[in-house]
Amino acid sequence: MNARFQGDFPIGGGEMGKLIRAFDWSRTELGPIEGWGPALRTSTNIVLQSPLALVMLWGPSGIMIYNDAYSEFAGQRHPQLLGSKVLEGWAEVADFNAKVLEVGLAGGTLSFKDQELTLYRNNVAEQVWMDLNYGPVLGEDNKPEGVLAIVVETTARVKAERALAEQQAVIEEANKRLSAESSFLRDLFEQAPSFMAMMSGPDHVFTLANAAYRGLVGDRGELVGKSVREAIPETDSQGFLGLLDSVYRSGQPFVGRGITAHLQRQRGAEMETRILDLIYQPVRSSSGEIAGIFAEGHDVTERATAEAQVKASEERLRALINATSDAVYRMSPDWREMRQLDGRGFLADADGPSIAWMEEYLFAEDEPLVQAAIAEAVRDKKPFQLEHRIRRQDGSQGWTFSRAVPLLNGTGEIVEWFGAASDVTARNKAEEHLRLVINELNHRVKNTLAMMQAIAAQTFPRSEHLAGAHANFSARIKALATASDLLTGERWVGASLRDATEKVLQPHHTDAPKRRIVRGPEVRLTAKSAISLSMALHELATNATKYGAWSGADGTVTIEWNVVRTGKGERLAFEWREEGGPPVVQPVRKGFGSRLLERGLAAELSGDTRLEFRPEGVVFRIDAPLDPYAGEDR
Amino acid sequence: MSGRRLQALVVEDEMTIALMIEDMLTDLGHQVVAMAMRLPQALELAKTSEIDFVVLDVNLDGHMSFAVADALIERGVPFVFVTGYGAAGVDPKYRHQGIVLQKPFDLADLEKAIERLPPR
Repeated sequence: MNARFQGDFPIGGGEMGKLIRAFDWSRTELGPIEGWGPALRTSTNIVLQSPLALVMLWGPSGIMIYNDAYSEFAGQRHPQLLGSKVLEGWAEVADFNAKVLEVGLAGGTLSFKDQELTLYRNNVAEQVWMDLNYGPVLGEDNKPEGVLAIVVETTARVKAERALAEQQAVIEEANKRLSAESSFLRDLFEQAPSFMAMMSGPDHVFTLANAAYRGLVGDRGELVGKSVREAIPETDSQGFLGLLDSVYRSGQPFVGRGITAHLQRQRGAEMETRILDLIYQPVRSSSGEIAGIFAEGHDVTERATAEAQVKASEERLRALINATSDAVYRMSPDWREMRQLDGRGFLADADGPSIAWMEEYLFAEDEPLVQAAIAEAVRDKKPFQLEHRIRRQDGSQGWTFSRAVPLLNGTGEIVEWFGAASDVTARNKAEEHLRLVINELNHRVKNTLAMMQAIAAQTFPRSEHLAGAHANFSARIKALATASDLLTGERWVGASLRDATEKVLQPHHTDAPKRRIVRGPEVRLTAKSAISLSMALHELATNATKYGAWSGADGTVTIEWNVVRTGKGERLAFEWREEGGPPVVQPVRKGFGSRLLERGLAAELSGDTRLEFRPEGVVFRIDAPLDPYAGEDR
Repeated sequence: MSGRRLQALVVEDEMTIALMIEDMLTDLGHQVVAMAMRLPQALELAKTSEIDFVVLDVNLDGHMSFAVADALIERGVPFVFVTGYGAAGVDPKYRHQGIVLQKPFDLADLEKAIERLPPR
């Protein structure tokens, strides 16, 4: 009974039960199976009865005893594993099992969840994952004698999880990419220089509107979610809603250029007019139905305004050119070619380019003069300006004042010359005539003065008594003629004080410059003042020669003036000062000279004069405004 | 308007002619209290000086002296227009207001003109 019983251990246990019963345990540290202690026997039975994969590592070497479920897990290592030392049986994971033995035999437990191991169960390296739980098996004296291991292979689950995770990562990556792309597109849309908006449904409800669009329609709060009618009510009366409706209904896009829109871009402000280029593009859903409208376009107001201004300016320029009576012309950059000339009846027209323009319009002897002016203008890129003779349309000789400006390109090169030539023939003739008249007038004035001299000479009896008076008269007439001479050179416009002084004093004292000192800045006198002052200086000079500084050998006359700035404008301070002549005696009677200097000249110059007969010499002073009309309306 | 010593203003832009007129008036027994050769001074004197009559040149250095005439008419001061242009050179508006004396003139011409002046 006992022997049968003995031979029956362990009881059952499937295939592994049979193998364990048949195994020669005497070759192992455990010794013959009959000698096994109760703990080992009980544990062996528990292992064999478990449906879970269990393996027991017994003794210090961890001799392996396992069940059917474990044998399946062990693959081709089974059945060699039975009764082998664990470190040899699973040589590839010997370190791991050494740790297990050490902990388990010391009474500790170990748990590993999804422990990854590389096993050679079927002669090839295999990556496996297992849930591993180890606990000590206690012997007779409650001392750990073995380690029980529950092995659950989780490779399939781990692989499935790994695959899932990988898949998720791929999806996440794809999502990230998509999101980045979408955000890029959104930025692109938002920052696009053209205005863009997306409207959905028959009511055209905004689903998107970019910054340019929001800028165009102005301050209206959030657009998205509102219909166009709601958000921009003023578009209704201007036909934009009708356009949207028709695009939505027909599916045909609308393309408009230079469309005027009146928009209230600021609350409470005036409507603003904007000029737009825009497209309404119907957008279809995947099923082919029209789902909404994409609006895109540009605000071209500034461009349109600028274009309108250029057009207006061109029209004004054309009107100006048409209005002027000047001939207008265009020249090549070097003036070799006349591109066009509109002669306005003054010059012959040149409708097309001509290189023979000089021969046609200029007289041969004037060409060098014109060419020199052209060369200078081309060289300096400065306007050409010249008054020259020209052959008129009827072939006659005329005069033109011609002025042309260079048109430069972006790099400063001359592209063309644009010029205008006015007909100054009549003006030149008038000037010529005027010059002749002035010459004739001067001639007549002088002739008249000579006649006065002659009449005086013939009229007054030739007596000793009157001889002096006659000489005085004659000298005064000559002084007057001299002053007239001076003015002729200036076309009777005026004269310089210095010229007037020098000229009138010339006949009186020519020998020694030291005896006549003239000092003063440039001062312009009117024609009348110049004549009056000349007459006055003649009187002073005559007196100096007869009785004053120039009557002896050494006396000098200093004539000095200055311009003094006062609150009432500029004034002339003039002085005639005689020195070194014989002692001066106050005259008994005031003659014409004195009256002229003291009374006449003062009134003439609207100022004050003072004539002093000082013993050391005559002094005459003038203080008068430079411009007697200063402060008055002329 | 003669027979007594009158006070005169001479408005004449040619200095020598102004002095000649002064001489003539002195010879005729009158006194020249002021002389003006430019419009601003002439206007000022016409408005302020104590005078019985004025010898007034029409053209003062290119400026017509009609504003002076206006000021004199306003004060009731009679005047003799002196002009190189002849009667045609005087604005018709003033022809009956003053006597017009044509340049050149002599002492007798001036004397007659002064005699014909209306009394103040």
